[in-house]
Amino acid sequence: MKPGRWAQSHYLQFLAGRLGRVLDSSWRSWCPSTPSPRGPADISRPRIGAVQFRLSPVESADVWHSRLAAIFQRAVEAHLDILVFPEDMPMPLLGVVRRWLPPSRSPPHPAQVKAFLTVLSPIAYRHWRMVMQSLAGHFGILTVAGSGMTAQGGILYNQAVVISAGGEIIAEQPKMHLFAFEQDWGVEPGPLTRQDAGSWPLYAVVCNDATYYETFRMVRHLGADLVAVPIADPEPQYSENKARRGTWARVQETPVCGIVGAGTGLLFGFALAGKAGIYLPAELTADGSGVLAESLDAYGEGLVTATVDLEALHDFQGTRLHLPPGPWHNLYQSAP
Amino acid sequence: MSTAQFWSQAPAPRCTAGDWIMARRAPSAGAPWGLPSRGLAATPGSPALWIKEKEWRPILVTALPCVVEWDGVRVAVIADDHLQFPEIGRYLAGGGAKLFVVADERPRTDYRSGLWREVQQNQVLGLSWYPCPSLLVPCEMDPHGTGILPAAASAGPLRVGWTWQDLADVRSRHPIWPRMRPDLYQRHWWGRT
Repeated sequence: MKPGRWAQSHYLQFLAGRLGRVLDSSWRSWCPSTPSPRGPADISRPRIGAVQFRLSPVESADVWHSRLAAIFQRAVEAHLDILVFPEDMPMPLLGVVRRWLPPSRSPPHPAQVKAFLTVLSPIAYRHWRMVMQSLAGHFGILTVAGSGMTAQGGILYNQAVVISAGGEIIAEQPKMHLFAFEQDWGVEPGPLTRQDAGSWPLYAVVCNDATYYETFRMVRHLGADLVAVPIADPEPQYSENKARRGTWARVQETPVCGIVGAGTGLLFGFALAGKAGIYLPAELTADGSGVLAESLDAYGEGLVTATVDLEALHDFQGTRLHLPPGPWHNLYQSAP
Repeated sequence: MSTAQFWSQAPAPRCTAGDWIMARRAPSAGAPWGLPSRGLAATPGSPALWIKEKEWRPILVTALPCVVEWDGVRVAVIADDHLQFPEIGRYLAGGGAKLFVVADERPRTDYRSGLWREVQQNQVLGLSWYPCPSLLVPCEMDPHGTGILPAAASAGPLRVGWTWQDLADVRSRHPIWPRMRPDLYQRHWWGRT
């Protein structure tokens, strides 16, 4: 190993130790204890919330914990059954060690980013997952905790975590379709995992997965009526049309309810913009827009909520035509 | 530069449900699938697609979708109903079609159009003429990010132009196709339908 790499590796281990100690101690001092009582949910009409969350790095984990707890508190006051957070939720926690990083005027080399993420992201990921389990169980809400970067066997994945209202992990779903910059960092695309969310037919996928209609066809085929999509779009300027290329477009083709948790802010050089929203086929919304609820501002924080009528959705699904026969029967024939 | 030229009754560039896609076939080209001899083509020296009312009625909807050669690229001519099924658009674009023309609809010139969705998710171009004639493009090809380039009339009919290189650049800078996961699609859906 070259001396530079050796030094970098040891320095990253130093940062990892520091990050782990700070996160553990801060959560021990804050952790909620007594579960809140919840009334029975209406299985056919879930109350859903989509979170818009600022992902800018934080210097104190306490601040991050408090903001999350405040969102859960609002969610429980709104009698929500399901809550969906954005992509990259643990990333702000890396700000805790930012003061020890060497200053740089230019973006780091992708290999440096990979080394940084491989060592540090699993620590933030585990902490985020543990905090979300505590909060979901405490407030009794089925929670799509967003997604986070983590490393398994030295391979980076960006994966969503689905947590039951009792606080148990239901599924960890890796992003299946990556952006180019993620591949440059060494992130690998993952498989589609089975997700049994109990009372509700919910699947979670991640951000760019919603660029591909095949994603929604797959999860619908597996039984999903609700598809949660944590996003963090690296777009300095929000564009409604660009945003409509994702989940909104997908639910028009595959009749399900799409729930988008959106990340905003400035995250390690990426300016993020996006609106939290809850989307249905246009025919199922009163104004024909396909938008059941959506944040008004693409740059701040907030929570949008809506009640989804699953019976009406099922009726509508029954009216959809089947793909006519044609030469497209061998569409994915080249697949291994 | 390739261009699309839109014909309409002056002064308002509005078309009705009775409008038809009209096109000419290049003299050197073979007979395109499902099209009569006066199909889709380039006008020598000035490539143009024509959308005209009543004068031409060349395409039977039952013969759609079809792919024709025009301006050196493949053009998919599809029916409105096909836009309900993204599988069909994927198949046509995967086969090399770079321009989508819908023969029997009034494809809206906004993001609510099924044609707009096909344009975005397949990184192709589309011609739309309701309520205003436009070329639908990937959002990255439009300086305003809308994915809609309205046709304009400097003199004579409404026209909109583009270069195929612009489309190639978008596909290169924002590659969608190489990141598809046909292995997953086969395992969880397509191979099981």
